[in-house]
Amino acid sequence: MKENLSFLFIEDDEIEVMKFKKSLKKLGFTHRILEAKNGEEALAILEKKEELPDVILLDLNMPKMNGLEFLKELKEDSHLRYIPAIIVTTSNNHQDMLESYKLGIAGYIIKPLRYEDYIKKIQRVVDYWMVNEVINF
Amino acid sequence: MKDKIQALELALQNEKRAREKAEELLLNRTSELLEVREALKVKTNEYNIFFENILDSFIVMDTMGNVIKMNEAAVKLFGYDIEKEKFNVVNIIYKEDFEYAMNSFAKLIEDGSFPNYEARVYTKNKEVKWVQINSSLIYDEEGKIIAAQGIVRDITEAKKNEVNFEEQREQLEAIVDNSTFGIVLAQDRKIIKTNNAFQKLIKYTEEELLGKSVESLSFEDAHEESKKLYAQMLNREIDHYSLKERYLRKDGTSFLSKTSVTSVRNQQGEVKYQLAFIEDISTKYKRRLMLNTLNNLTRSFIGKLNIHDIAWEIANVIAHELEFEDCVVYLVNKEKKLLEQIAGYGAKVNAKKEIVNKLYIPLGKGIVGNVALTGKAELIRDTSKDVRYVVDDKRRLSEITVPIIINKEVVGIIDSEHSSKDFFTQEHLRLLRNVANLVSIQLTNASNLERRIAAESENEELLENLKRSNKELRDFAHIVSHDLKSPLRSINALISWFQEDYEHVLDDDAIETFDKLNNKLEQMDALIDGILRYSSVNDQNILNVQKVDIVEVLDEIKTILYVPEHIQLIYSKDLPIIKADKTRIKQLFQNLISNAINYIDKEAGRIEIKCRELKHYWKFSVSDNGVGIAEAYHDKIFKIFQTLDKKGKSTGIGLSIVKKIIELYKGEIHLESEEGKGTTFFFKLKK
Repeated sequence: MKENLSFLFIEDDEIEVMKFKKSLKKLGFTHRILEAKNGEEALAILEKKEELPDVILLDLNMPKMNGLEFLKELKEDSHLRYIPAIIVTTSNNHQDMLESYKLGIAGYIIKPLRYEDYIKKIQRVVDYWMVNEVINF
Repeated sequence: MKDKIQALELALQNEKRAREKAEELLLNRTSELLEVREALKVKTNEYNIFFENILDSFIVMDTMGNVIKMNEAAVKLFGYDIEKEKFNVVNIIYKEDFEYAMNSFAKLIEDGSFPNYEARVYTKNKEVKWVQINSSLIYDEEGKIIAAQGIVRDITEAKKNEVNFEEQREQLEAIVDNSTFGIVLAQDRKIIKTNNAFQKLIKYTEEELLGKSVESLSFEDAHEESKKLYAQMLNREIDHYSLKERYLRKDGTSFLSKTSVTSVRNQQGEVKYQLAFIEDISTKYKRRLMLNTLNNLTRSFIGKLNIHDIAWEIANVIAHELEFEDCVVYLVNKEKKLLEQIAGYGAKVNAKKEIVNKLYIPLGKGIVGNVALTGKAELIRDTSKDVRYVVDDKRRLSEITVPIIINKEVVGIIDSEHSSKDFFTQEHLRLLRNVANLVSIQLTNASNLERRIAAESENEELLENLKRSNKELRDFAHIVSHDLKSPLRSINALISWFQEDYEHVLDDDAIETFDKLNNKLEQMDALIDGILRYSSVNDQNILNVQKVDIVEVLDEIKTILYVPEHIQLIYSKDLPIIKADKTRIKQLFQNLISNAINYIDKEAGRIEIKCRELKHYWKFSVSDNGVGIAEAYHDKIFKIFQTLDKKGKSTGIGLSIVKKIIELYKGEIHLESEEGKGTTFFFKLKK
């Protein structure tokens, strides 16, 4: 159990990034947030291995390397594969979900329309991971 | 006296001398006679010995025909015995042979002998016997005919055999003459006898053929071979051979034959005669040739789908195999009303397989043009008597023209000409008609095939397009889901932040405006979701066949949907378990029920779900006591984006999804409604 988690938030839409950050702030969390605009950037951060996140949150639709492609790369790495990855997306597409779970995800969150609903969901996710034990390298 | 005595003595002496001389003469004579007599005696004895020792009958008769002597054999033969009765040969002559007998007898008298008299006689017991008699005359000392003698042989059996042989010969001749085979008997390859069939075949008379050499009648082609075989026959290597030869008739025509030659050898084994059997196989050969041609054409047509390729095959195969001088295939050009030469054989074609001086014949012109118009095949025996004839590369005297007809329309012409009159036969005509039919079938098949291939590729293309558009639609939906939904979420977040940041300055109007803005966002979001669901109804990737308990589905819907308290959702626990995709079934009921909920205007709302089992379908009904739907809209409501309620939350997608799901299960939907009272949707799902 960790009081302070570090999240790698992979998202190309800056408002989404703001939403996440504001949500955490509003919820009073002080977790560390690493930001990446797409899968490539995220991999670059992860490959440095200076600071590995406890949880990865990622969107599916992104330019360059999209969410699923990133997941594939991630799951091929013998260490990084153990970092829980949670999809946060607007897509409730069955195929997307199926693919994601096949590759191995820790959760699939659909972004609600209302900001207030979003905050509620984020709160639950963060709470959940706060009570979880994660592997530390 | 003395003189007288002397004279008398002398006379006496003379007389005595003369007498002595006469006596001597007489003596001599008598002794001669005795000798003759003796000889005759000996001869008679010899005869007797001869008589008794010969097996053949022997008779001696006087000039009147009375038998004066006969041996045992003669008695046996004739049944008469002269020792017991009179026997005159004249009495036993067979009636019909009487004249011959008399003539023969006259000849015997004249010549002194008559050999090989053959005639019939009656025996004593009235039997008719064939006898052969060799006779001669017997003369007395003076050379006077005293008797006739004859050796009689009984040839009755031999005659019988001879008759049989004659009959057999006749029979054999009948066979030979009536044989359908030509039969030729030759000696040293020169004809010595022929039968009717051969004479008919070759159109020469028997006399004309006599002495002709066998080779002079046949074409040179096979001479070498026949010479070789004949040599082998002479060398006793073979007794029999057969070969195909073409014979030349007197009238200049010819026929193909199969000739079988057999040797007839003498006792030394040398070839005495050659016996040849000649069979006219030209008809047989022709028939086979035609059949072969047709077969070859059929074979060569395989895989050829256009008339040009087929035309070349026709021209080549026909001309080559049927020994036509030329063959040209024309194609009808309907627009220009022309016949175009598209393939040929013979003088019309150069080494590069191109038509020389390609001819274009207007429809109706010439024989070809005529046939193209009438569609009726023609066989012109003599083109010089046909005014329609058009000279192409050169004038030829006979022509055969056959149309190729597809769907009652002349599409082409097969045409051949020949330099001699009367070259083409009815068989040729029949064959060409068959070929034309074959072409017609082949081309019809080909165009059908082409059409089918085109249709198939079109279908494939359509299917491919459909697949592509389905995928595009899915991808589109995917993009929509992110790219359209994301901004809605951002807008909502931005509004929220704005509201938070300016909470203290915003008045009620502003707050209401923001609420309306948010409602619109929600509508937009619902619409996007609707489109997404609609687009995924047919997605085979997520179509399961599972047992779906309708009661369970409705129970779940109750928990998902917001059902106001004044509305009752009524369904029996007896609703069936059906086989389908649960998500779809749920979508189906959810849409119908939420639709009903939306339009219930009564204080006590009722939504009832029922089911009836049909043979092949489940028939469900969802009824409500809502506002009802005017009949004018009964069709319209199932169309996408059609909504009867402009201001509400309705997206106009729900019933489209319903219809699409029902169609997925090969069912149908209709509704009964009374405005103000309510609506019932009926739908069937295939079991």
